[in-house]
Amino acid sequence: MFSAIVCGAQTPPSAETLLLSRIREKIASNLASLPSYTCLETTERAEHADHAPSFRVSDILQLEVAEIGGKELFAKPGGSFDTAHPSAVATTGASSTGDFALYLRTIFLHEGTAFEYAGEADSNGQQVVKYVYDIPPGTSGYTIMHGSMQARVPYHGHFWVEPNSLNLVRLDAIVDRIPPQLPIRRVSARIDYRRFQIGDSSFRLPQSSELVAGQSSGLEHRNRTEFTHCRQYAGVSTISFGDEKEISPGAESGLERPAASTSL
Amino acid sequence: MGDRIEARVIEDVKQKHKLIVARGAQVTGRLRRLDEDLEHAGRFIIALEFTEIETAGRRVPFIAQLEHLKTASLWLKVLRQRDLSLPAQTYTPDSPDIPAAPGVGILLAKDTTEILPKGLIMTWRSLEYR
Repeated sequence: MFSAIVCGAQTPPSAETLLLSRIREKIASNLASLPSYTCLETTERAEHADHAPSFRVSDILQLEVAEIGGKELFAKPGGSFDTAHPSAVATTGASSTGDFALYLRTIFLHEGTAFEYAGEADSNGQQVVKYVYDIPPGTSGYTIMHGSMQARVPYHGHFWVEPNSLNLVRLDAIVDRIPPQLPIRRVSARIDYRRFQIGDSSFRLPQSSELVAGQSSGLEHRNRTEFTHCRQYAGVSTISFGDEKEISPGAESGLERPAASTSL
Repeated sequence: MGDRIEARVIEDVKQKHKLIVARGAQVTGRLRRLDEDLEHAGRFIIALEFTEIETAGRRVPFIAQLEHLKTASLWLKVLRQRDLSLPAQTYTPDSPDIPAAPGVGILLAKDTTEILPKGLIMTWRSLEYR
């Protein structure tokens, strides 16, 4: 008696797909071994009115930001980490969360992100590879806030990685599908990663970021942030979240994980 | 990038005749940036980040702004940053595209074989931790 097993022909994964898999593993490993840590973030906030020649710096904001238990928390320098959004400290102007760690967790650790190889590129004389990613509406936790209104929105972007070391060099995020009820046209963020020593080990952490948010009125906000004084966090804090009104009709509810946000 | 850097305080630091930091205190940090200056071929932008100072047995954050360099090297100079202690609108930095941050000194160099030449003396001005 004979039996036959017929296997469907499978296309082996491409080199770019295998590389992506290794990149995701490396980022996941970096995040898993990263202890709770804190940095001082110094943000130069600027505005650009319609027809104005350039951005005008309006203020410089200093906050301490920490990643504790997978959440981003903020404090005034020397204060306690008791707020999950810098807008609680900086009550006017644009502020955002996510630069510190939340983008990485959402893009690389959760299912639902679509990736595509986008070729080789040059970054400060260094050869890097570039990928495109897309976070669809159902899985995005990104929240845009304006006054009392807020909406959960999808986003997409790119990331750049050194192909040999698999080190993440840069990531950007573009939000351009925003419900018309909000007077915000587009938000883009760019984060540059470098090596920091935390405790006895070194990790790839955000070193600087830039957020540009354009309002329907033509006014643009630009926040340029430098992260310094990063160290292991050894404290305890408690936070509570209030109820918020949500206007996005297509957004998935019940997303419990912390995610990036922008407030104008 | 990210390599540890160290420096020593060479003069007592006093505030209203009170000793704040003693001579010999160690300051530590990291090499933050080493990039080719895209606007000037052959020049490099170096960012040094000093984060901690150990004084009187305590480690405290190094919150200061780089003011001057004293070095025999002809090819190393400070790129003046936005003054973090002044209202933002009142100051025009040398390097407006590089936002200022406490503890971070930005240098312009023509040679990266010796980023921190022997005998380099830096003068930093302390800032309020706000």
